Amino acid sequence: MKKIYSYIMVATMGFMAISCSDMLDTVPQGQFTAEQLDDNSVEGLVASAYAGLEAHFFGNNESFAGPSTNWIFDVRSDDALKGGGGTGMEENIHLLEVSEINSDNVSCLNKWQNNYYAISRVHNAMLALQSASSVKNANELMGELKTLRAWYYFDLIRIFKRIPYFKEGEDVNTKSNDEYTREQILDFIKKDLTDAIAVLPAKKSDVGRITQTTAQAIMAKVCAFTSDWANVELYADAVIKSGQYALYTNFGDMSKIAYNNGSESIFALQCSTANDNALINWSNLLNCTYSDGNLYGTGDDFFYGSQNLVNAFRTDENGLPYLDGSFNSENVTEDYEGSIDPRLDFTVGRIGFPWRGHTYTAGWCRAIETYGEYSNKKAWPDPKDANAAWPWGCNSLNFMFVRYADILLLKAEALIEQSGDANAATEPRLVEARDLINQVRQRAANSVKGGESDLDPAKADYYVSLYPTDYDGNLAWTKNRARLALRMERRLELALEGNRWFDLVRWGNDYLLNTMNNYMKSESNIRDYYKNRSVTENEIFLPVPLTELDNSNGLYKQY
Amino acid sequence: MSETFYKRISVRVNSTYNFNKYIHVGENLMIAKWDNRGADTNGDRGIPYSAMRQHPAIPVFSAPSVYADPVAMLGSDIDNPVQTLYNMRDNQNSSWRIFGNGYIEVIPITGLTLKSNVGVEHVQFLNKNLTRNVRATDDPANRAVSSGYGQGDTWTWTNTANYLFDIAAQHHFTVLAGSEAIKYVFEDLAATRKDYAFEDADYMQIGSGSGTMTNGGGKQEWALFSLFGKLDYNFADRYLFSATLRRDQTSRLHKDHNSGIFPAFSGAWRLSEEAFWPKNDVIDNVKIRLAWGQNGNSAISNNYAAFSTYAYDLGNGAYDLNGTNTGAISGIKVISTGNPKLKWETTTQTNLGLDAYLFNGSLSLSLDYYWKNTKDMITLPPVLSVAGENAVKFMNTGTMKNHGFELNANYHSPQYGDFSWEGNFNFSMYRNKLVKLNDEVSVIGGDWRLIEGKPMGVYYGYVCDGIFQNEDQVSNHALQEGKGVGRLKFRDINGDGTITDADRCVIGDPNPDFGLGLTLTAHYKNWSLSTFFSGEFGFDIYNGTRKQLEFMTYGNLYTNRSVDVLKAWTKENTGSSIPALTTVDDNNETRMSTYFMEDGSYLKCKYLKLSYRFDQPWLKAVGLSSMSLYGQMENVFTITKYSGLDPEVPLTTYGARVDNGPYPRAHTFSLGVNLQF
Repeated sequence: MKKIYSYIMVATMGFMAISCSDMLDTVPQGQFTAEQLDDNSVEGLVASAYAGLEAHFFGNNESFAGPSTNWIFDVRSDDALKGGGGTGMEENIHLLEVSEINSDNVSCLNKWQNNYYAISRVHNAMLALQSASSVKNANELMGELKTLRAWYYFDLIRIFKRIPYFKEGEDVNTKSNDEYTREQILDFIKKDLTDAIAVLPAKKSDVGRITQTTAQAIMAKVCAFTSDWANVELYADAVIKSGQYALYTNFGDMSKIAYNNGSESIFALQCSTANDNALINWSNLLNCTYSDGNLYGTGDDFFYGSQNLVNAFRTDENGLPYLDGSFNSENVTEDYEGSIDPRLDFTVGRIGFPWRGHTYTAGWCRAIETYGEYSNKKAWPDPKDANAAWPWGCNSLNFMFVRYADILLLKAEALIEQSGDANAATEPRLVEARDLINQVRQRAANSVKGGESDLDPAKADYYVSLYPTDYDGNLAWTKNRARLALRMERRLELALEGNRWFDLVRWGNDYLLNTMNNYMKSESNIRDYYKNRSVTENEIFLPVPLTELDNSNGLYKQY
Repeated sequence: MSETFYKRISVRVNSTYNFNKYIHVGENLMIAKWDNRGADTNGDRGIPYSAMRQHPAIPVFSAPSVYADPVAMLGSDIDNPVQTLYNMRDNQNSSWRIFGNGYIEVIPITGLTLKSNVGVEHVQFLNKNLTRNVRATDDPANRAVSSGYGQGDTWTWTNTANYLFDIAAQHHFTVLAGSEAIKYVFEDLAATRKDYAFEDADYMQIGSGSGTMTNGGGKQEWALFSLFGKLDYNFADRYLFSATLRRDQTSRLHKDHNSGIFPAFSGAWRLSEEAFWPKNDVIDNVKIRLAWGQNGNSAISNNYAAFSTYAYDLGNGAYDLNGTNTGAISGIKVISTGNPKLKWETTTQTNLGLDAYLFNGSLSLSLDYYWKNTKDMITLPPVLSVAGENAVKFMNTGTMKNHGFELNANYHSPQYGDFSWEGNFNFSMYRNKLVKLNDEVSVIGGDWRLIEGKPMGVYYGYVCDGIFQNEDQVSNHALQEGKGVGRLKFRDINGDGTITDADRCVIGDPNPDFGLGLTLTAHYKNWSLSTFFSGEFGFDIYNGTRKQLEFMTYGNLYTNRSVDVLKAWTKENTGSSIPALTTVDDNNETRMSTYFMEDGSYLKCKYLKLSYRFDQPWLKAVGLSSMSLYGQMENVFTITKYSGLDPEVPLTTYGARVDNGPYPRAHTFSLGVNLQF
């Protein structure tokens, strides 16, 4: 009897010994491993490399603090104020605004992290593509990925002074931020774009994809950043001559969802309400106007235009901007009686003026004593096309990283910078530059008609005209005056689209410091927190984020 | 707190049956059900902290039965906490736990016991959260119901063979060999639907909404398999020796490294059994113990730590490449980074102890001193952003040392007529040092961190030297952005004339110098009164709530402050420790500094309980073996100098003690009855 039981026990123990090795052999559930990546995975990896443009990886705050739309850099510039409920809200952005630059500013970390995370996705897609046996359009896909990589590195190099650079398959943990100079990295960026331009098709049926002209347009921007004017002209010209693009009829069209990927859009963040609003413009999420009546839900109301920006839209008796620096001598308030560029009312909200057919009042402004009244407007379509709940005001309006007007003005700038120090009469490049600037101004002038839901001609004297050919004397279209006109035009046309700060950076330290310190001084008369603030030369580029510096164990150096 | 409750019911059944002297079987079963209802009470958006931060000018109601809207009134994005409690009144989480064991024991020959035990634990939860409108004007499309269901099963199968035998009269042996297999499987489902025409809980069911539907769910599993053997040797109850060897295997690690072998030895010498031990009335029994052993740990949060994984993602990995405005192409992204070389972490402990029984066993004492060294400690070293998302992986990199002392004393008084009493006192202290973190960094963490050569979780920040009293002090101080009269002064630790990141240092330690506990019970006839005191001494708390309470700039202008701000520094009131009030904090005064460090030492009376035991004969008649009735008060009082709500703050990462205004421990009064059948 007892023997039988012993046998039973021995039998069960034996069974355990057999089953245990299977039992311990568990594999991840609902995920797959690197070995399972195959040709079919390439599409998904490429999609996620593009999705890096959303700057939205694990939470929401990395998008607010390190937005791909770079609105926080408009806040660093003379164009914009942080906004929101007070200076203490998202204080990291306030510190950028008043130029108190510390390496532990979370915006430093998030801009750095978002771009490197995106680059890592690009590299995963590249490696899968390289080891795939047969993928349709493999060369084109590599061109798209190289353009994305160039874009992410370009975003980094215009923000940080020294960054680590690496390509797919390299050991990222050994790459120091002093291995390559800024010039070398900008050359790598251009090389990627040159490679991409060679393989990309002119057009694609998937409108969100990068094409040859997208890469050329980005190349024009990169070359402008390095003052490589001949190439700015070359690549901007290629975009223009492609015949694929045209300015929208009305300046306000860029704020309409129906115009997504329209004729002016060259490179845009594709926003979508898919998957329960998962793919909206997270970078701008905090920036939705407060809107009395919850038109867009309870917007957080960040990102305000500065008084200085609003004043820049003043036009003189000829319908031209004040290029002599006197634009800021008078504040555009409700008492202002002079004429104004209509683009102002497409760019910011003004009390008493229409906003997509509604009336913008003081009740729309969250912290009017601190930040005034000029809530940013371009990113917000008609409230009927937006969500009235969390995520506040979210919608599928694309954000254009590069639009046609930018390229027209870059070409104009390249022509001006390459021209001799003469006036238009003897310098055809200056004439062509004026024509390009005037194209942009003509559209602004045309926009009064059809812009009724945002403009109120009864309240404002909208007047914008073209730079004429027949001026002489001190208004003659010299190289110097053309440059002033160009720089002002970029400011007005591209206001609050994430360009201004980087324009100031590339126009030189003296220009930037002079502009910013004058701005902080004059704006401090109405914005108390600007008192005694200044920007210094070593604050132009952001430092290596403290966390990265700490975690690098000496690999990274602070500059 | 209104509109929240917690209730729990549990039932337990045990039984054993002996077929004959060779075979015994038995089982035990425990079933518990508990329900949570109402709003979440923790975190910086939790109810207590929101109530504390809310601006005092915002009322609960702006009109009869209309909740005040903090956004409309003051642009405050802190929700009205009373409304939140009300809106979340029907949120619920109900859980079941069923735990059962069955065993068969076979005794084929005298001294040999073969036992096979199968245990099953089933845990399941079903929760439901309702999102209701906050304002009358809100769109019903925003109403939502989220529901989640999950179930986890743990199977345990243990087989042992135990053999007792003696060699001669005084050599007693016990040999044990066995195996244990544990398997855990968890699966869950989650779903959300939006747009509900009505707000009542009866209507708001997951299937009745008319808007967006989302769902999710997944599966987790792990398994452990162990083989173990043990030998006990006892010579005349005087010398005791024991040796253990076990091999543990886990599914969490790569096949090639999934096992760890852990030996242990212990010996004891009962001095009082020696012939030379003098017979006395004081010490009855004395034992000296010495033990050395190793054990392993692989209980990490990633059940598949060896694998690098990818997944399709509909959220931030997806992209609308076709420009449809409403669709997207799913993206593939890295979900986790594996380390196939990860192995068991091993802790080696040496223990020297003394047990003594005195005065006829009425007083027992136990003293222990231990040294505990952990090597191959499993850590998650930080990674550089260049490595991409989810690049963090578990690694065997750390080494940690602990040593400590524990004392436990128990006393039972003799019966003094109808009265008797008993007490238990324990005292513990430990010292902890992180010897090595990993090869990448010597520091992990931010305001509280792991630093090589320091105890776990030390606080790291600036030293605050009080307030600048005059212009001279300001101008003589190092360059400190934002300094001024009435502002906090931070110390220039490295003496370079500028206050920078480099001036941070260790400013506090969350590890207590010692802790103690004391339980006292007095019996009189059928009554007993018992109380429990516990305390921890000599540790620091980072009192983060003071940023909100004492700084006007912190957490936005529309939030509340402590009344202490009225006593802030002014030119007339220079003795204050709170800096001058300001609406712009250029001096970054809420930075991590000694300003927020406080000694957390406390002694608490945790409960006071009075009970009455019925021993009347009628108990038997109704089938009860015993019955008692009790009244209890919990969290009776606290003695502390700590300025926050409660010095017993929950431990956060790395064992730091950070006060962010958690749900305070309530004085709880309870009445109960204990029945035994």
